[in-house]
Amino acid sequence: MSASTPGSGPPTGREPALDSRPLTRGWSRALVGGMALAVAAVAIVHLAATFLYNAPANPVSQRYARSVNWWMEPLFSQNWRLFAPNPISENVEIDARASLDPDGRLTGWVDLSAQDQAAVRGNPVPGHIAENELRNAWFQWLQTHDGNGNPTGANAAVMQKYLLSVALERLGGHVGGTIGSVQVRAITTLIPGPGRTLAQTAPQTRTLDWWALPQDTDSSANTGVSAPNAGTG
Amino acid sequence: MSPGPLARALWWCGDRYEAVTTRLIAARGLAVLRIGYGTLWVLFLLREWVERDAAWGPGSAWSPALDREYAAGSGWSGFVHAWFTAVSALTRTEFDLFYLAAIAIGVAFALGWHTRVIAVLFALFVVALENRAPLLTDGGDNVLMLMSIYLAFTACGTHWSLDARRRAAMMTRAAEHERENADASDWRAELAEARRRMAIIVHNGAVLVIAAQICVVYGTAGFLKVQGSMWQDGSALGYVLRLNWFHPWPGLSAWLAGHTIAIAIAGYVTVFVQAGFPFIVFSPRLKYPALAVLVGMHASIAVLLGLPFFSAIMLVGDAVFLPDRFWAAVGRSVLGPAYAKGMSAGETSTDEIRAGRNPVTPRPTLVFDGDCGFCTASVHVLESWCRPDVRFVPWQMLDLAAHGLTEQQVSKAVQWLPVSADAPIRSGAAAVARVLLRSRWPWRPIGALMLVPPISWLVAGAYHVISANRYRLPGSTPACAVAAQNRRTDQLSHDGENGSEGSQSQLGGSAQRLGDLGGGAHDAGAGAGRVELAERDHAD
Repeated sequence: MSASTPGSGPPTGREPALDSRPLTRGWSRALVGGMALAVAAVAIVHLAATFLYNAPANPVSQRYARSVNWWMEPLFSQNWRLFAPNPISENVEIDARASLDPDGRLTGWVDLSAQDQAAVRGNPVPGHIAENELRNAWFQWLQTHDGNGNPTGANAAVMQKYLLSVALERLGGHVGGTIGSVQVRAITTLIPGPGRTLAQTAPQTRTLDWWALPQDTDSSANTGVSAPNAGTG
Repeated sequence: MSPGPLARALWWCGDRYEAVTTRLIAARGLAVLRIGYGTLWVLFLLREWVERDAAWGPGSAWSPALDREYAAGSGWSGFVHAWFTAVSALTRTEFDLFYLAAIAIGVAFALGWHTRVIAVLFALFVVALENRAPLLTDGGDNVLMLMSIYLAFTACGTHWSLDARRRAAMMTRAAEHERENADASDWRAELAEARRRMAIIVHNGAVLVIAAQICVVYGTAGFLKVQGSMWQDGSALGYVLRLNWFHPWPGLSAWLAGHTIAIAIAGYVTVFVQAGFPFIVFSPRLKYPALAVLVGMHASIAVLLGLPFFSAIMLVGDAVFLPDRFWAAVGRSVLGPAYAKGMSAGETSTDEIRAGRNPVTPRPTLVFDGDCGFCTASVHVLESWCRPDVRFVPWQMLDLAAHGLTEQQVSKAVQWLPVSADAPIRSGAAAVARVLLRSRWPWRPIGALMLVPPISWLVAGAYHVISANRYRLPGSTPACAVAAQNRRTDQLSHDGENGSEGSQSQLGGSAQRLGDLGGGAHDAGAGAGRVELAERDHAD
């Protein structure tokens, strides 16, 4: 049926103003007007901060970096660089092995990432632990450490403990004995593609230092791991 | 004398100001966000139920000690610090209770139960749980956190919510009373109106922020991709399809990765739509194809990369860009006309009738056997449980020939008379299925299933058995056939098309109640007379 009722106005698609009655007093108009101004101001500041926070570094965002970060972090922190500017084009295999107490016997390398990938395979609804835990732990460690494994970021120690903790969790089922220290390595393989030679796509292995477990920690890693920098390797 | 440009500009500003202070923008779109995010949150928590302790509990790899250390180094201030570290301080039992509470709040949020309070709790719980393990999150969690915070400032419970249903029920009872009170215009009423308008302003500000945030997500992703050499040479998606970590279906991914031309086109379309999104959404025509592309993109991400929650969370956010008209139409078609009206905050019910507008569309009719106690009782059950937007008429009250029916047909099975004369008449189980299709949830999908072949055969068989034995089944006392027959000859022979409505109103008690229940709030408000029913159908 057509909405051809006189007086109902053209269909605007807007929510009809139900039960709206005009404001008749000065104070109520001021109250509403003040609220409108306040909301507009907060919205403009928030949108500007969101833009500067996400935009590439530029004179404006650099000048107001402190204010922008104060406004955005931690509640509104965001990162939309997934697959940009270029997608990840390498496969990373993360392995770990353990040195067992008390005799320092070494276990073989265990492919930790393969455990995650097996859990994802054929699963229409993979879980967060399989998809994000080890991957994020590894990339955060990379971001907070330099090429020699020395800490560069403020959270370097936390990220190293986290990676150790994730590795311990996944090693648990593969190791019989008490773990004294753990070594992690990453094997990176560039995915073949246009302009990539066979030599470039050969696997590159990066082996990290041995990280000792503190004495009061069992292999289930339920308590925090302290002093992981006491490497033995 | 025509007004000058300045006067017109001022008038326009005043009009805009009036609009943003008295009207909720995208009220239905926000209801879609509320239902979508609430539902996804619950599904996500149920998905992670088995791994909840390893993900966020005391047994997480991001241990409570690690969380404290991270928080201490972050420089967060009082409230934020307490909020972000709240979950890491819980014992295992407390954590399980927290997790169950998070599920319950998600359910309440999706249903729109005391939405204002629940929306704040939803934001508190989502942010607290997601920040319990900050390195376990992906882009979907990021969007969900932001949206949960923004939604707490919106009136997202005005449509398709338990709140709306309760409010609609209250309105029919107390609308007049409230209106009289509002005219009293004392400072209390003035303050109430000012408060209402301030809530609308906050809502509209939050809607603006939500829309802008989604533009930022797509715009950032798009503009960064423009700079990427792999997106430029069209090879990017080929690499993405070969990533071991996002590889739930290796065979499918490998097969797709072999199609370099298709991959290059899909990559370019992705970049164009993402980078153009902040501009395209303001075009009333272009935004639909753009949103369709995004639906396809997110569906592919959900399946090929194994990120269903991420994709669904992104898609739900896009709902804010579809106009309320669109969502109103979706509501009508998905929830059924009667149900959709009952669930909206009374905007079509009492007000339209008061305004003299008539929202009634012609309704299809189910013809049943009024002499059969079981049939009559079944119809009563159908009305009260399924609330279909259908008229129920006993065949004894109907001019059968005028509707192309014979007495043999109607005494064998119920008959479905569609609104349009061109559509075929259905009978038996197929007719019942069509009643369910016009009922409220969850009867609509059941009705649809009843029309799908293997099930439809079974249902048809069952219907035949019941129908053949219907006089042996329990039911209320049969109506008086003779009286009904008399009325039919009196009233209906000259009524033509309006015969069914006329007979219904003459039935009094039982059938009038059928009309009320089937039609929703508008019938209850309108008079019960036969004349008015007839006028309605002429107007239509």
